[in-house]
Amino acid sequence: MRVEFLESFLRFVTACQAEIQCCAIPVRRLIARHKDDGKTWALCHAFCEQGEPFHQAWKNAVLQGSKGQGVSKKDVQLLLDFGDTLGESETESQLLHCALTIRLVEEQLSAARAERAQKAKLYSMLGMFGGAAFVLVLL
Amino acid sequence: MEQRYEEAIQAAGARLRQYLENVPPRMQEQTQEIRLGAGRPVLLFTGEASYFLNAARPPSLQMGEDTLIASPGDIQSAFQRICEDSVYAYRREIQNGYVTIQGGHRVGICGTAVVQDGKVSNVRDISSVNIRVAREKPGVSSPLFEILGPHLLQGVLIAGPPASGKTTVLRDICRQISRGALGKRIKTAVVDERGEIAAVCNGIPQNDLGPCCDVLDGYPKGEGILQAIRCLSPQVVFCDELGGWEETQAIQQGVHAGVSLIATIHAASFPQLLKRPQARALLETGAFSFVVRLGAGNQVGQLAEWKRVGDLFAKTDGASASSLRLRCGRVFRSV
Repeated sequence: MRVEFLESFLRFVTACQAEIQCCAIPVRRLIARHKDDGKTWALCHAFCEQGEPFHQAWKNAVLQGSKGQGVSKKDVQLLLDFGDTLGESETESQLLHCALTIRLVEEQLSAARAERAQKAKLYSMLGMFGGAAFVLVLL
Repeated sequence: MEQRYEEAIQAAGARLRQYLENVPPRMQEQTQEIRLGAGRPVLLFTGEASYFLNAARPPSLQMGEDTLIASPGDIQSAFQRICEDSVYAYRREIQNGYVTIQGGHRVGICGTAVVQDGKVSNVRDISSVNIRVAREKPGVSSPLFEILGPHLLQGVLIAGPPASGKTTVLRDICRQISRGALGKRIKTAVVDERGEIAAVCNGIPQNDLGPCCDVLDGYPKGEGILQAIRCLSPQVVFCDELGGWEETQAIQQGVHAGVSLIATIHAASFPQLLKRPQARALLETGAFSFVVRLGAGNQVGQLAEWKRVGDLFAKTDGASASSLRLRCGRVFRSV
């Protein structure tokens, strides 16, 4: 689940980078366009529609949306830091900020995928040994 | 609540907005500007007077203990709402000192300039926000139609001081011409550099400009006029607040193409208009046959006087109307 969450965030930041560069779309409209791509963006959009300032809406959405997703504190902080700076400066700085975030997310994603692969091996080994032990007990 | 007023107060932060919502309906309809300044009382300007916004009673001419004072947080909150929390999306507007919000309302921004290479590149520490309530007034240009009729298509420059209703009149002329007030529907193009004429939101004009109108939203006027002429085959082009030299060149090209032009310019009087070199250059292009002046005061769009451009120059320079036309070489397209 952590991998899917980070992949969704990576897609979002990449889309932000492209849309800011191409069309300078305001952040609220960016969120509205991507609200169907993940629970966190849907929550952020909903909070914005209720009249919350964007940065407050983003923060609340990240804290709520990341629950039960298996994400680490570092992942959550990455999202919070991205939202804090989104919209706060001119286009060039925003693009640099997106590029930096993409790089950091990719690092986290690599680590998450490695962790998933390792755990998958571990669980399959545990499953095998558990099955073998059960058979031995029966015998 | 009056719809236009309700749209305009969306620019204010949550704290002040709740008090602005409680302003009596009659005053809402009269309010032309809402002025928010850090550490200063919130003011509603009706065209006749400025009223203080109060927490516990209707707006008043005198300050009281419950008069609302805008805090720096209120100003920052308003600025974030105006820019949709996206400074990068409104950088050009911030550099120019105003943002046009949904509904076509212009919000002036004032603060500490960040200067690069001698130009304002950004504004920080926003200290005041001035919300101008834009309103459509269908029929406000009807006196002009009665006076000039089809001669409107020979080009009209509408002059007036700030807040005299130039944009309101321009918008109404476009609507009426596009709808066929001159006997048949005429193709129009509006170069809406500041987004105040059509108030385009998500690609849809919020103001009624008639069925035969194309809107070039956000285009610099010079570029917009040229693109409109090249690509949209308009019969009349409308634009607001002429004054730059690059616009004069584009207008010259429009004249040669036979396109009529109706535009506005800042000037409180005709002598003041002619003192501006850019204005003289505009009039000498031959794009305008008539100049109209709107009056100041609380009657938005009130026609004060009008003149033929030739007569205006004749009075000041001694040049005749016919010599002006020979000088400018205007070609009129028959409509």
